[in-house]
Amino acid sequence: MDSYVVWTVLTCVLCGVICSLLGVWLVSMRLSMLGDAISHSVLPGLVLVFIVFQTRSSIPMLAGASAMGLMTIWLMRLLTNKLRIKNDASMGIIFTTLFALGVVLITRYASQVDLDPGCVLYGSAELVAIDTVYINGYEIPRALTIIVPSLVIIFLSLYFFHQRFLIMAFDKELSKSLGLFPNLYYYFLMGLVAIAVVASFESVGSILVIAMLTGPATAIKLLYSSIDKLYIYSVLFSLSGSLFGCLLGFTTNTSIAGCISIVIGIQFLIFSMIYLCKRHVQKLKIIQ
Amino acid sequence: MNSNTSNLALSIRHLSVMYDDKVVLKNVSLDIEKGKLLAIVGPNGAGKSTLVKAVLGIVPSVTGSFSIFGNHIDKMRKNIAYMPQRENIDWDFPVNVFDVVLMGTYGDLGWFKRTSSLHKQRAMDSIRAVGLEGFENRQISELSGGQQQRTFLARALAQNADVYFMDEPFAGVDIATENTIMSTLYHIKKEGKTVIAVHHNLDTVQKYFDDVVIINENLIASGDVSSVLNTTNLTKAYGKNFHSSYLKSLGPDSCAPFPSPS
Repeated sequence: MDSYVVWTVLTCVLCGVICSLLGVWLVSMRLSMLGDAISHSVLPGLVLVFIVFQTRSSIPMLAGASAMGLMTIWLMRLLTNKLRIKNDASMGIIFTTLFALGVVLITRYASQVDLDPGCVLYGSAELVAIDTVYINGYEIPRALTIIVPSLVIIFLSLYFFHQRFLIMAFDKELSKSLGLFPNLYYYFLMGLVAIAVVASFESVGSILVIAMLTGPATAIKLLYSSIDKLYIYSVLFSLSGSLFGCLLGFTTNTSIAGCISIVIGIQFLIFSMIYLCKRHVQKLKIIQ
Repeated sequence: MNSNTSNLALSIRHLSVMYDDKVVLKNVSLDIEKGKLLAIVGPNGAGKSTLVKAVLGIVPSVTGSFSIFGNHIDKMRKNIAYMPQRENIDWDFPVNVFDVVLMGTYGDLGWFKRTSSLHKQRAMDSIRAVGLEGFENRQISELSGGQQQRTFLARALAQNADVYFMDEPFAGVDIATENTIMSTLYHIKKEGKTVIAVHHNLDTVQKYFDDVVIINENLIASGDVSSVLNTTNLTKAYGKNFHSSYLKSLGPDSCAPFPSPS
């Protein structure tokens, strides 16, 4: 197998893993659409980092994106609390405005910003293996220099702070009464979502990343109801989605990100069929 | 600290709470003795839950100070337990009974520490104490209403506290669970601990509790159930047109001042 295929598949698989881990929390907390909002609103953060620091290295990009992700959440809460408008309405206003700001900045500073609005939306998994850097003499895709650190940050955070995230997500009141700062951990988790989104941004784009975030956990939650199982099976679901998606993309010579999302959709359909059959069988058992 | 304050499980001074522009609690001052089962009663929207949540810092207060055994609440977080109202829980959340009860021990979490086997033991003991053994791995949506309530009671027990705050512990449970909850509360009391419960059923206040606090935005009365729970105070809290079999049981004299609704 040539290295182009290997790098492309590896990049997609790692993006899928990162997103599916955080998707477990978004889906459990009924915040799937917040992933959508963050995936769009981080764009001006990235563009500003390009313009101001003239760099595409991972640390400033992750920092810029998380800052913009947290600002999105903060602005949404501000609108919801101060103006007393519904949460989904404030989400709709904030993320579209920020995304539009990003698009305007890209087109205005096109000469300085190495980002194409089309790639932002649909991703460019096909180009990942071509855009490489040298690290210790090894040639690796530049995308991995942001994906691997993100995976490490997210994995360690979820491992060490699992119980704090759990109590924040499930029972904010108890968390507050124990003095465990649920708001802090809420923002922390959303910062991690922003990181996951940025890491996957260039490969799968800001729209298809939502499939990677919410598809796996939503499907698995139909059949399993413990956080540990959600983690394990969502990652497996995502692995299969990325592998078969890449395969479909290579064989049909079409958009890899698009194919991955389609495979995730098909897998979701299979899971919902299993769920419906299971419920039907349960109903029959009750009647007998 | 003098001996007088240390005997008070909870002391509230000049507590006022507002939601947006609406006053929910106005200048409430209150002392609650240690080792008592205490009910907070009042009509819907009187600020019963808000009183508890303000003390625990769950909702912000406009004015007021609290102390638990004479200390600031932040120093006493490990000594207090909280059982939220059923409606505030997302029952579809992917956790099982054991996960929920174990959360009661999270007060001991260090910055990077995860729970130890000692904590898991404490959670199992609490599950046994409310009679839920065998249900540890059950997802919480697959429980009956009574079992759900007992899960949260077990979690409060696992907090191993000195003061237990409970928001409507008897709401929507069957008689068996009501008995389990009550015997658990008596057990807590026997250990010299204090229970402060928001309660809505006036008929059972005398049967279950030692002390009562009657509120409706303002503090109306607090003290021993037999001396405080009377027509005058309840009329102040609930208005004139309310019905309670408890009041009827007090005899015709108590019902006499009620005019028929016009």
